[in-house]
Amino acid sequence: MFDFFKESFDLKLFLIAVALGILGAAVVFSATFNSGLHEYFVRDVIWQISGMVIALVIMFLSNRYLQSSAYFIYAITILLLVFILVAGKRVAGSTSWLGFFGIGGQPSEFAKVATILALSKFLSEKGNDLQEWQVVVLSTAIVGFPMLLTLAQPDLGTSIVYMAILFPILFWAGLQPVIVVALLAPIVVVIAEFTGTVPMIVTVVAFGILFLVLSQRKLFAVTLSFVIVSFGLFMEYFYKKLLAPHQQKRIQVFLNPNIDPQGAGYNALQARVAIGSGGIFGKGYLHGAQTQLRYVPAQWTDFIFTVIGEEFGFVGAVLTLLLFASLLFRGVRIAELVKTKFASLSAIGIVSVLLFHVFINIGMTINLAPIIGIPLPFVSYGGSSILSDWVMIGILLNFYANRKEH
Amino acid sequence: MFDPDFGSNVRAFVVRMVIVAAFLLIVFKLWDLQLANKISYGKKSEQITTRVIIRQPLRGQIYDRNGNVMVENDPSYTISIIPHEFKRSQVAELAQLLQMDTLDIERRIKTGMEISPFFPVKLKRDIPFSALTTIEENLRQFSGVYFDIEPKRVYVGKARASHILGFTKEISENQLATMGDYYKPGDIVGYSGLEASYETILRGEKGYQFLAVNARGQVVGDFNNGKDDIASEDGSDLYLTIDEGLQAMAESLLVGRRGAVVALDPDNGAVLAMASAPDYDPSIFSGYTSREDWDRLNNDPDHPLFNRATLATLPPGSTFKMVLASAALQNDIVNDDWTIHCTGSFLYGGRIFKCHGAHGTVNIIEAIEKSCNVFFYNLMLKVGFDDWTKFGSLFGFGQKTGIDLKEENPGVLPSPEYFDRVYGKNKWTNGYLISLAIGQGEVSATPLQMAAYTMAISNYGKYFQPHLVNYIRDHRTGRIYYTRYSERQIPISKEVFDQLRQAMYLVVNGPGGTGHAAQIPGIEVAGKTGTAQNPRGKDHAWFIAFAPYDHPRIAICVMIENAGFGGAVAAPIAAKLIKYYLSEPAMSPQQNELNGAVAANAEIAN
Repeated sequence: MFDFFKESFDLKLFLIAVALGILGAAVVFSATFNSGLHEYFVRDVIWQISGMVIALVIMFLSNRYLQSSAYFIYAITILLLVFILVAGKRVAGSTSWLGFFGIGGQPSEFAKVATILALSKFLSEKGNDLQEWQVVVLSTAIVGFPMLLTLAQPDLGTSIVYMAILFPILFWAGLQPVIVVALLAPIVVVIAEFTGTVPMIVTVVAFGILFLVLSQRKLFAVTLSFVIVSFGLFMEYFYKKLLAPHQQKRIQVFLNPNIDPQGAGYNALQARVAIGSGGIFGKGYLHGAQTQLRYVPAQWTDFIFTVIGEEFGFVGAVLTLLLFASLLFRGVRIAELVKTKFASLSAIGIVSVLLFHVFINIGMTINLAPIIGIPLPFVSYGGSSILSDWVMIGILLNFYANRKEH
Repeated sequence: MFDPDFGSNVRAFVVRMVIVAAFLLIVFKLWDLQLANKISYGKKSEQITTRVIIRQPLRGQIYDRNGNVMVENDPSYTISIIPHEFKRSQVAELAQLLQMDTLDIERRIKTGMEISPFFPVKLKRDIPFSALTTIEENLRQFSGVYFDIEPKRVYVGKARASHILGFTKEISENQLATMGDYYKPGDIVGYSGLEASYETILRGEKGYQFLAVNARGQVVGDFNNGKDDIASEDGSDLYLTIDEGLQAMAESLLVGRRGAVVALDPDNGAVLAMASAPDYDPSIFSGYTSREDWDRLNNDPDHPLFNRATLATLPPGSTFKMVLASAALQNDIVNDDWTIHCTGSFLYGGRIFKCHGAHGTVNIIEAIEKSCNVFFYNLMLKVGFDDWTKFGSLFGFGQKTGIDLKEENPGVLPSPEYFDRVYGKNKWTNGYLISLAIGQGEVSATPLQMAAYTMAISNYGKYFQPHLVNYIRDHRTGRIYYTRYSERQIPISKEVFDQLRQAMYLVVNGPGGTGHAAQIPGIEVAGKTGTAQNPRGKDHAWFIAFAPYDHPRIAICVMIENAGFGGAVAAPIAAKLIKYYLSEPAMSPQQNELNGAVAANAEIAN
């Protein structure tokens, strides 16, 4: 037993995750302290403990279990996503919630994990060479399918997360950089177009140069440049001529919530005020005025980082970031240590999904990212989110335990 | 099997750098927010939060075609409350001070809370200046209750034009649910008329000011030095096609009656005047509207809020005869040699249909001049139902004209299918057509449709979309945006229009004409009288006319409810308006300048 812990248990990873879980429960307690919602804290603790147990159970699964059942798990979650589109409950305007006998859950949180495993299994199978375009297309389809189902709920935030699954895994699997950039380019051009014509032109030119630098085959690079320039021009036409002013405005508000101070901008501004007022050391646990007066809406879910920023200050926020950073670095290390391609790709997928959540969630409270309703891992209140975070930790622990197996 | 690049050291390095970059970005931003003190939070020791002040934009002004102001804005005083700062125990005291109902205050606070407890909710608007000082002195004992200065509409034109301009009013709960995120409880929206149809253009965009507030609710200064503030944008101004003088005259001629007048410019479909009587004073709605005022207007049996010019649908009577005549002439079913001998009545299917008298032998021109019904009973049976409907439709009947008002009725233009639907297949006979021949029975039209029909006859078939707004002027940049309207050519030959116009000329000027009351010395007027049979009371009077006969500059429709024969009451009103309008200079110099010089390429999504 002792040998197992010494040799196969990634104690460091586990302890970082436990620290984040404890932090999460403490912050949820503060966010709901004055609202009389003590059951939120109780439930959060229950989920954190259940999550840890689930993580440990997954760690002890046999060597090849995750890989062999990856497609099966993927199929089940896809079915659940289809099912909730038909029969789900509407919560805050979207049908992402599934309830059985009083226990609710959001399958889209688990679908992310299932998609990582399925894509990794697909790319690690013999003969699936990324030099062939069919493999790239099928990879995109594996990710695109649950992404579109999530988008249809409609849950824009969670659906964007799938981008953070596809690109890093393809990159890690060895896709040529020029193709990775080519796949990313349209997304970047769309965002650039929404911020203005000049940024769009700059972006398109930059991509053109990047293609020429990255690709050995000059004709191919020129073709790609031509395609991206045409795409940019089309977007310019689409955005300026085909979208009605109110649709343009909605996109503007999404990218810069500050222009809608009575809607999304209100949350964003209050979040910045709360974090900004924290100063170096913060106002102290349970002493944040913004938090305790509930100035920031939905503070125990999407805007929970404001509690950390206000009550623990810059120091507390940076310590929290260090916890997340070390968790992610540990994940990258595991991706390097494991011997199977499946485990390595999955580990990178988990790292990038967690990074995306952390960056966007914290970013939207400090005016760095649009307001996308995605949770802060381990910290935001929400059963499906917390449990799926722990499932990802469990998978990493499993990989570490089996790292020497082929 | 393995890609040589899979999981390579270079790639691992890239992945680690991405993570580091993301976290550094967050740390720099946190540094900026928490340590660099870019945002001034007041004194360090104080718990600072923000308060949002909404800056109302000025609603766009409305001008007539000559640049005379019809609607502008005045300041008014509004009491607002921030639910979070207000102590609920003081509701009763506040209600007493503001002379409001306690339940009303509680209801307003509750709807406001659903948006945010930190946003001001309007409690009472347009407080009279006399009451202001008393309230202001006593207001200090309440926390979270504030004064706002808000613009309100004032109507300064010579004409009331209440049905054209419409009115503004505090947004209803129903509108809040359907009109989108921009609107909040207490906002003023256009309810009717141009105020409603050009709401998004007139209203402008709200501005926001953020104040720093300490834990005791005291304002300690601008939040973040005003960097987060958003300036309001004033609404754009509307320049109408209305001639204020003509409009005022039309309104004065309708005083004491129930009816409507619509005058159009036959060159482009511009509405020169559009009056509906009785009307109302739109300023009743601009500030605080009392329950009694609202109930009085809403329950008035004469329906003053109802725009008769675009909503009242009545049988057009004999004014509709040109539709049947055009169908007969265009399809060569008859020419002006074809005559009917009118003995004063017409027997069809065992029923007797009456005429106004015994007109003797008449051709199609004389039949219009003398408004002979017997001629048209016979003509209808020759032309047939389908063509009658087809030509009615060409002149725009049975469909909305598309005027830039939300209030418009399409009227009814019966067709065989329509009768099949209403009465059932084979349940109706040709006897039903006899009434339609003279514009009675199921056919109905609005005064606006009648004016547009007159316009299309006067200008040889150019059916312009009637419209009230000439152009929109951006309040900030001064740029002018012309509104675009449709036009279509009615496929009827010039010769037919010549005959229709000649007949209408004879109605006013011929020896047997029914519209002599519309004669104006020095101006050649063409017109047509009509009487809408009214089973519930005295008949309604119609008169349509255009002038001058050769180059028409005005096409007009006058409808007076329960006034009997159209020639007697309606025709003199039309004559006075035509005389007034044609005595004015053709178009004011400033108008010409604007039309010619400015921003011809400007356009607006409408």
